[in-house]
Amino acid sequence: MTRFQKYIRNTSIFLLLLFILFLAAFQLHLIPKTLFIVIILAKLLATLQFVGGMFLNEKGLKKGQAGFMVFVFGGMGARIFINLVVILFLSQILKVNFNSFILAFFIFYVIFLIIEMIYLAKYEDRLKLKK
Amino acid sequence: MSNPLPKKDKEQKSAYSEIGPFLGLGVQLAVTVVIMVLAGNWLDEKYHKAPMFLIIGACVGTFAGLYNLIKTALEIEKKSKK
Repeated sequence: MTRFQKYIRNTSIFLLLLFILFLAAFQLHLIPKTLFIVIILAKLLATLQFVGGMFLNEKGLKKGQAGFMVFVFGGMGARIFINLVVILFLSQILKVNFNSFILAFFIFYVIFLIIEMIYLAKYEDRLKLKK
Repeated sequence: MSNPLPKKDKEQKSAYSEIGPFLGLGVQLAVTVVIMVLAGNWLDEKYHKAPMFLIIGACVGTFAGLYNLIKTALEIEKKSKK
């Protein structure tokens, strides 16, 4: 198992635990159904953008410093724009609360960004090797 | 009296300090977009012009965020070349 695969496995475990936590909160009537749906949708969307970002980072790491910059920053901008369009689209179709949706997504986005950056920091030596 | 950090800790600290600006950039981009979109949505509700302000807010937020992202990324690249 490569380091990348291990990282994806650990993140998946974290995501599963997070899902169980929210499901438990919903079952215990701590959060209403509408909020639960919004949280799950936001988490799903943030997960998809995170996986996309990780693959872009991996590609960028193989392309050296300049390629890394293009893939990471270009990907970051493209991902946030695509996510925004999807959020607008989903909130219109599913009639979910737009403000809750965007705030829930923002929280997950930051969590995933931290995970992504820890991954890059851990393997920062790979960046220097490709300079 | 301060004990010098072990080599591994020093390397890890330097790695995190190098990645710090990247994390800041991502958060900055998201904050800009989210604030502009929420402001757009609030204006839409106030003036009943949905979704005009929302779209304007989303576009302004995305472009401002991207401009800042590209500008800072170029600065980071310049610094790393030195």
